[in-house]
Amino acid sequence: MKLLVCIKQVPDMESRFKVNDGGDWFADADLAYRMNEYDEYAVEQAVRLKEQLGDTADVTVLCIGPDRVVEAIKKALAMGCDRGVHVPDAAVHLKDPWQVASAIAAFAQGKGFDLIFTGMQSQDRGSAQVGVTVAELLGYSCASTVVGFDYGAGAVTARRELEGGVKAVVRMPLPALATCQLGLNEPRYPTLPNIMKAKKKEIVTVPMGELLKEEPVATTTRFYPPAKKGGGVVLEGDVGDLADRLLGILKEKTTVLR
Amino acid sequence: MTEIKKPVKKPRGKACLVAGKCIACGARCQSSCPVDAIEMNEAGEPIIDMAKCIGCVKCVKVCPAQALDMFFTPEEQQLLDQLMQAGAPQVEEVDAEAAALAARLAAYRGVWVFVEQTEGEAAKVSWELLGKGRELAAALGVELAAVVIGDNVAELCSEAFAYGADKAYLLDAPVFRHYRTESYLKGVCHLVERYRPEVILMGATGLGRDLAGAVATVQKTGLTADCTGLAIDDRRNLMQTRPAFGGNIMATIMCDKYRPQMATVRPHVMAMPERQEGRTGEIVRESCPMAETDILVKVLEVMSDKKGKGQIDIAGADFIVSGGRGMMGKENFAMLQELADELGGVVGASRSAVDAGWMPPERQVGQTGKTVRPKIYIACGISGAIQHLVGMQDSDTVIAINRDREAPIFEVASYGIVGDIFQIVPAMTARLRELKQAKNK
Repeated sequence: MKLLVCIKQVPDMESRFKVNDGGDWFADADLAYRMNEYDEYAVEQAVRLKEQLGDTADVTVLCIGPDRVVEAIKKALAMGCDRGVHVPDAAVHLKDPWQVASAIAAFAQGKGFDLIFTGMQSQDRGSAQVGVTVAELLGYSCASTVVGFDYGAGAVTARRELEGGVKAVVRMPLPALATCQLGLNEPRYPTLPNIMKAKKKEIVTVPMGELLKEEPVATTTRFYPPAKKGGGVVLEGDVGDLADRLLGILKEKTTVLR
Repeated sequence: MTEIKKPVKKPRGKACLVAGKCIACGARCQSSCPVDAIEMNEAGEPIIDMAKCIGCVKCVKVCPAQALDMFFTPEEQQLLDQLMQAGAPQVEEVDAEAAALAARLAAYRGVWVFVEQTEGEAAKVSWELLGKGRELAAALGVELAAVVIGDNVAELCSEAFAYGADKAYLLDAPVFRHYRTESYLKGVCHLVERYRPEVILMGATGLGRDLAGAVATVQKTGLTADCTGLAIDDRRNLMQTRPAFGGNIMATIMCDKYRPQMATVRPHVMAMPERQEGRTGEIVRESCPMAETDILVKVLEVMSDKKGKGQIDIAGADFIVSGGRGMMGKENFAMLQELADELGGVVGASRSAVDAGWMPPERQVGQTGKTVRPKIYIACGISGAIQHLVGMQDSDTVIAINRDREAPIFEVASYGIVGDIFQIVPAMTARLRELKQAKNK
């Protein structure tokens, strides 16, 4: 069984983001990068499936981006993926989700992947589109926001998270794609022996030009820091006094106390 | 009739590579070329087929290193110079491409809102979107339509009218009973191809995100997820604003070459419109022939985690008392629950409180949790990381209680209280109780 995991490297969300001089992305100086949180669930699920199936499974991990993303690929390899594919592209942040998905679909086309795992969304852009678009382009069945995954007898049974605490259980035939959501699993930490082993695993480079033939359908026209709301009234003083003033506010703003 | 002057055609030239400037960026010029005149050599530099090049300047514009320039033959250059001297030609050749694009886009008119329903019950976000859709439709001067898909869901059309729709497109068949990407995708695409709307809005829910992505792919158009702002520019384009990087940066995204323009919006981001009883509209019943056997994915069961006395839905609450790292421990959330009980509200939490195991994940407010828009949001011991702020800053009134005067939560708070939560919260609860008792006497 051939599995593909698509991952993205994102800036650590605790960083301080500033818009760059070009006004089309953030200034990337002094940022730390890590694997997109949701993609870690995807990697973990693929590796678990491989462990379930034994050696008949082969997991490829794919990442698009500048040279630094090889770090993310290496982490995925250390978690248990078998081979890596790096699609070098220093300008991937200027491509829209449609282009990224088209490139991934072009890579996967004809390679006979039975299952594709992606994160539900990326932490930086957060458009949650690439996974579903890839599935649609390849004609795979697809389950998004997956929080439970089970494979058996040639079909996938997935638990999808819907709104308001509702979950749906779906069964879909292969080939299929799942986008992984928080709660699906707990990603493992790569152990030192596995990190050493991962160094021997192959990472193939595929040029973006070979994969991407599409023009963007959406363009980012403006990129700016959010407007700061003017700070409100700051109250300080004695506890009893503060509580009274708060009650006053609640009385004024709502009907609970009337 | 005077003599008809044939305007001299301005030469467009051919693109050519400026030696030594190409940085092998990854074939951006190649992907931009509309006539496939560019091949890449092994070094990743472009080879331009002069016979094919139409001088559209796209590759020159897209090149990040200014390594491509327009090249004119001596005759063309001479002609250009003449034109320049003649005082810049008034007839800036009407770009055939732009005209074709405008004509293609003009075929799409109207604003649509997809009405999401589970077992016949509509998701509130759909009504919120009708409110926003009303504004957009007014700005465009077109009608607002609801798209209702399901099994026995005709009554949702009248609901949609009450919330502002002029028209409702209805697909009512057993095959649409449960949401499946495949069946709904076919249904929506069928309607889109037939009636051609220029804007489609969907809720950024599990269902909406799934469906919107699939529809956009099939229609080959742009989709912007989780928008927080929608507006129309002076060229009928939808300006879609959304937070990126956990709310640290806002991006405005446009899809000016494709239609329909699609956007999803999270629940509680847009304001709920006023319900107008008795408002009516036109129902357009459509059918999209599809057999159950054609759909590969089967829904086995729909489970609800609702336990006993009902699931707490923080996203729908009017009062939220939220706790963060400053709560110091799980046991202290009881204090917030007491205050919430007095107010008839619910208890929420920041991500750090959830990660610490003090509160369950469904109570989490913020980027990776729920977006809330209550009347009163009381943030207790929450410093206000931007990821938290994006989930609650649209609350009507934000009251923040924190010991640290510099905490970012005070920047979005309507009322900031610098002090000790362990004294203020119980004091408030006590006062509320006294007040209620006094009233009951």
